[in-house]
Amino acid sequence: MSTALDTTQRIQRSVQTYSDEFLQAVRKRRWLKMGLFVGPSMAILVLFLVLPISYMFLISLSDAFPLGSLTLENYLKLIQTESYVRVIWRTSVLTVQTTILVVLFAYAIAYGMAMFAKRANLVLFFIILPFWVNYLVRNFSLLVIFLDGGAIHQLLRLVPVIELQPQLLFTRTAVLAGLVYSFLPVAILPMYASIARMDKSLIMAAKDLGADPIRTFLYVTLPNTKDGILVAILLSMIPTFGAFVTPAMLGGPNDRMIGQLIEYQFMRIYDVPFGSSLGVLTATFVFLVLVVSTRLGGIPLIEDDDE
Amino acid sequence: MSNNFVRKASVGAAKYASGLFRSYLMIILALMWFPMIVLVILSFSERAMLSFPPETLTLRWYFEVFTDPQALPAIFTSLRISLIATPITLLIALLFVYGLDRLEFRWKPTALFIVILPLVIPGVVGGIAVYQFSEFLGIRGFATVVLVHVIVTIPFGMLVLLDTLSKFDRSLERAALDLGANELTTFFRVTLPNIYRGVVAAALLVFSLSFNEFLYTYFVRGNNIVTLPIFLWSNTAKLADPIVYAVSVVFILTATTVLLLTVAITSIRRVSQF
Repeated sequence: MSTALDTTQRIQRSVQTYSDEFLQAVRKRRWLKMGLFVGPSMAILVLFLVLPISYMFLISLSDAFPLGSLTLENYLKLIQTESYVRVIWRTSVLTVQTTILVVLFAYAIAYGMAMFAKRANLVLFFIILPFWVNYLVRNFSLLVIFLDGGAIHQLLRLVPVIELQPQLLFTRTAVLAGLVYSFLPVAILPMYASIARMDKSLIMAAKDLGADPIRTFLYVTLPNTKDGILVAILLSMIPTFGAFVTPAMLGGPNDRMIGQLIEYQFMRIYDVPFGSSLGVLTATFVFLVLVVSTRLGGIPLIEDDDE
Repeated sequence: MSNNFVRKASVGAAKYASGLFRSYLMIILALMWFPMIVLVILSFSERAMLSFPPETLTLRWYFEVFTDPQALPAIFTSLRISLIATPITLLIALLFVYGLDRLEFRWKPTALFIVILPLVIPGVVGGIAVYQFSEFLGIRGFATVVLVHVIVTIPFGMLVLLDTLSKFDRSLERAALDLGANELTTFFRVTLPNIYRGVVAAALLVFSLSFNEFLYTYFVRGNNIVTLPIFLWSNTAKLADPIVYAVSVVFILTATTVLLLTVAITSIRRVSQF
């Protein structure tokens, strides 16, 4: 009995000494502190994400995987093959279309929630929930209602005059609808935050000074919620440009996007160097969008901690 | 008098606008939820998509999920990966947020950018990058998948915890330190009890994201690791097999449960800011 107690006490005491020594060591050394707190995340992300992306860049400039000699062949192939150029163009067009639609819909939703919704919290819950529901499930649900004879066709049949049963699945429209549907929830939140945060007395002031609602919106509300809009644009542009699941599930062979092209190179024909050049192209796009929006003052993630 | 008229008109317009916006919200919510509600209904249908609305209702496909030779192991694989990845992510993210909050260093923006990177890099690009790197190093399999889940979930864990820590009153810590407690005691007895809601919320969000993770896993997994999203992906072509609908509902239910829990321990306002 007493020896067991002794042992526990001894262990406790030694743990105490060790932790004290450890803390003292850390207190004194700045680099140890940095290593302890910032080290793990930096190590894991640099080793397994930054390095891989750099490696992808290297492979895109070589003629073989895992290592070949330097060449620009992959990029030349990319710009010289008409079908690839068409995929890139299509992806860009879809990205612009999706972003415009998402921002328009989402701004109105955010505005309605911030200004008029009676049970704003409940509405917010049902707006946020889709974001937490698996991305595959959301796209699959669209696939199911778009099917020939699916829910939308059934509903159209209920309308007496219309005989229309258009092909919905595997069309460009289906892809666009899917992209908007996928990225709408995330785009609403930053705009909602910025509209809710905005000083409402500014609107009152504008009205009192005689501005009509449209002028008030254009000159007061819109500029004051600019940051939210920029983040929303970011949050719909970036994932749309790299979309893979949505066009793969809802699009036809003529609606392929870059994401599918990349997957095809890697998982079907194992052309890793060429696939890498497509990956670099997509990463470059993301980087450019980020740089432009930072210039415009749109990324609060990085600037917030100064406030 | 004209002033009065303008005021009346604007009050009228405001009333009109509020009605308009409210119905718009209702329509959007209906459109957002309609496809998923259809999925839920179909999961109870005897003959899948062939008949909507279904003629007979059944729970058969839910039992099928638990007897299917692939679906049940997929659920367990997913749970195993997420339950290992979540605490790792939380620990790493908490340490990072602490460092960001309390240490001064010049490359803070760079560090923050690196941590946010998994969030801004499209899954396809990140997925292939990690895939070729792991191929290059010759590592593959379960550990790689867990690693990838940690990488993907770090930004979200970090954002939630950063938000939590920035709202915590640090003078409490200083008081504890002044009274002679060491840093560890201070953390476990003062800081943690004050921020635990945020930590639990972060854990729930990270778990949910990991449980739903598809793209990175898809590229890195090799052939023998089948998570639930991978199972769903490889079965979406089998529209006539209603087990896909039941699995979808499993995802919808998990999301709802996790979000309800998160809202219960924090608040919907907080969740919407994450």
